[in-house]
Amino acid sequence: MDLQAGSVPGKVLGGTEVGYVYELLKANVVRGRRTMSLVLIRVDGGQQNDRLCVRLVQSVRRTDVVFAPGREGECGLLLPQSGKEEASAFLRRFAGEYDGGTAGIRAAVLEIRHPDLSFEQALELGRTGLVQTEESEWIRFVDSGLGRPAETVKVSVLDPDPLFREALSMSIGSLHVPSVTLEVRTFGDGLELLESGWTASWHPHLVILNDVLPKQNGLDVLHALRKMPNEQKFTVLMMTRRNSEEDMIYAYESGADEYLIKPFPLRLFEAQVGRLLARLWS
Amino acid sequence: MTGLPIGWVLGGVVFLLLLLAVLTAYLFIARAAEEKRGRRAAAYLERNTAAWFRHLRGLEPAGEELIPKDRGEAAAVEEVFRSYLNNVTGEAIRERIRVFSNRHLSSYYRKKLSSRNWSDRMNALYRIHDFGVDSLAEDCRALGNREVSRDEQFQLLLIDLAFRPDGFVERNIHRNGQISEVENKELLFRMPEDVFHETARRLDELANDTKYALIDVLGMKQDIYWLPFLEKQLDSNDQELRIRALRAIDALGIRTPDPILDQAVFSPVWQERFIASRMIRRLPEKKALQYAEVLAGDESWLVREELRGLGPALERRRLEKEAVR
Repeated sequence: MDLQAGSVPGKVLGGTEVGYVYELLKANVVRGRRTMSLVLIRVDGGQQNDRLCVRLVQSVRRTDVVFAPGREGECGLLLPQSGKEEASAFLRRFAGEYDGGTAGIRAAVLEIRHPDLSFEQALELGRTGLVQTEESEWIRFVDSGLGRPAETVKVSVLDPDPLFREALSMSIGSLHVPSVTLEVRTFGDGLELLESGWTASWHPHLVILNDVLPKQNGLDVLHALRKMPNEQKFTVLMMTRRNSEEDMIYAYESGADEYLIKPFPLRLFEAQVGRLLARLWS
Repeated sequence: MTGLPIGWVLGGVVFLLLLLAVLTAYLFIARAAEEKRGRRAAAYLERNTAAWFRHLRGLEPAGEELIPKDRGEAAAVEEVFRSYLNNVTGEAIRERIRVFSNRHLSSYYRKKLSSRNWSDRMNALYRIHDFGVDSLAEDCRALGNREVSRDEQFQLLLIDLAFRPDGFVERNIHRNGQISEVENKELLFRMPEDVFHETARRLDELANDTKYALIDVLGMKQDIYWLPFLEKQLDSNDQELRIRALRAIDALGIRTPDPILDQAVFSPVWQERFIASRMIRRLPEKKALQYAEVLAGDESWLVREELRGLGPALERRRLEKEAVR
C-alpha cells in the first residue's frame, strides 16, 4: 500500500502541512541557534512503507515530526535540536529494533542550519543522498553547502587595569570562531558598561568582568545584567583573585557562567572563551 | 632696642626672594620633566601595547621599537610587565619578561640601585625580583654589604633566594636576625624544598625569630614528615620553641603520640597544657577522659574552658565511678 499524507491521522504529516511545519522549525533553528536534521528513509519494496512510517511514529520523540514525502517507499523525519550525530544514533537504534534490520533500508541525513534552505531543496538533497547510499554504509550524510549564517556576538571586557583590558581584548580578537563576528569593547568600570547602551540589543553578549571594579563592582553589574529583559543573551565570565569556595558559589548563584581565578594563563582564557562561544550553538 | 642696618634687612629679603625663586623654578622644572616622562610613557604605550601582546603571547619576537629609549619609556615597559605578571601566569611569558629585562632594563635598574633615594632603590629591588633581572645579582649583593634598611634587606634576601638558591643558607645565616618573623615566614614559604631542609638542619644556628618562624611554617605546611623533627624540639630548653613545636604538632591534625601528650599534660607551662587540652579531643573517649581528669582542675581558666566540650562525658564517667564504689 502506498502511504499518502494523512493515512496515519495526526501522526504522519504530508502535503503542504509538512512544508509549513518545516518553516516553523527552521525559524527555531535560527532563533534558538539549534541544529535540526531532516532524515529521509527508503525501504526497498513499497509494500513495507506503511509499516515503516508507523514504526517511526512509535519510535520518535514527541517533538519530532514524521512525514510522508509523497514518493512510494519513502518516509521522512524532522528532528529538531538534533545534529547528524544524534540522527545517526537514532537511525541505528531504530534499525536494531526494526523487524528486517538494516537489510533493504537506506537513509539520508541532512543538517538544516541556514534559513535559505527550502523544504523542497532539502528533500531533493535527501533524495540525491539516498541514491548514493551503499550496502556497507546505509546512512548517507548530505551537505547542503549552506552553513550557519554569520552572527555578530558582542563581547565586553571589564577590568580596572587598562593594559590588561587591552590584552584580553586582543586575545579575544585573535580567536577564530566559525560563523561568528566578534565586536569587542572594553570598559574600566561597571557603570560605564551599564550606561553605554551597549547591552541594549538582541545580540548574544559575552561579558568578561573582574569582580572588583570602581564605581560599580562586578557582582553588582552581574545582578543588573541578570535583571534585564532577555537576560539569557548574556554569558558571563567572572574574573577574580578570590578562590574561596563560598565566593565561587556566590558568583555562580548570582548568574556567572564561568569563573577564572587570577592570575591565569592566556591560553586557558582563550580556550575557555572559545568554548563559551561555541556553546552558543548546539 | 637692637637696630639692624637697613642694608642688611634688604639683603636678607632679596636673598630669601632669590631662594624662593630658585625653589619655585626647581619645582616647575621637576614638574615639567615628570609630565614629559608621563607623556613619553603614554605615547610609548599607545604605540606598543599591541606589539607587547604579540611578543609576550609568543606570536613574534621583540622588535626594536619595544626597546625603551628613556626613563619615561622604561617606566611604561615596567607598567606592561607589572600588568601581565599581576594578571597572567605562564612560564613562557615570565621567561620573555626576564630576557627582555636583562637585556634592556638592567642599566636602568642599576642606576636606581645606586640612588640615594630609598624609594627608588626599593622599587628597583621589587622589579629586579619580579622581572627576574638576574644580571644584577652582583649589584644587589654589593648593595647588601652596605648599610641598608630592613625592607631592603628582606627584598635582597628574596632576590638572592630567587637567583642563587644554592648556598643561600650558608651566605645568609648570619643575616636572618635582620628581618621580622613575618618576613622570615614569607622567605621560608618561598624556599625550594632542598633549601628549606638545609635551613631546618641548621636550626640551632638560626636567630630566634627565624627559628620560631620555621616551626610555625611547619605547622602551616601540615606535613607529617616533619613530626620527628618537631618532636625533637619538645626537648629544647627554649620554652617558646617548645610551645610552638607543640602547636605545630597539634596543627598536623593527627592523634598525638602518647609520650608527647604525657609531657604536655604534666607540663608546668600553662600554654603547653592548653595545647594538650586541645589535642586530647582527637583521642578515643576513654583515653581522652583519663587526661581530661588531670586537666579538669587546672589552675588556668583557659585550659579548663578548652575541656568544656568534654564536660558531659566527664560527668558520665564520674557517675560511673561512683556507681562502682
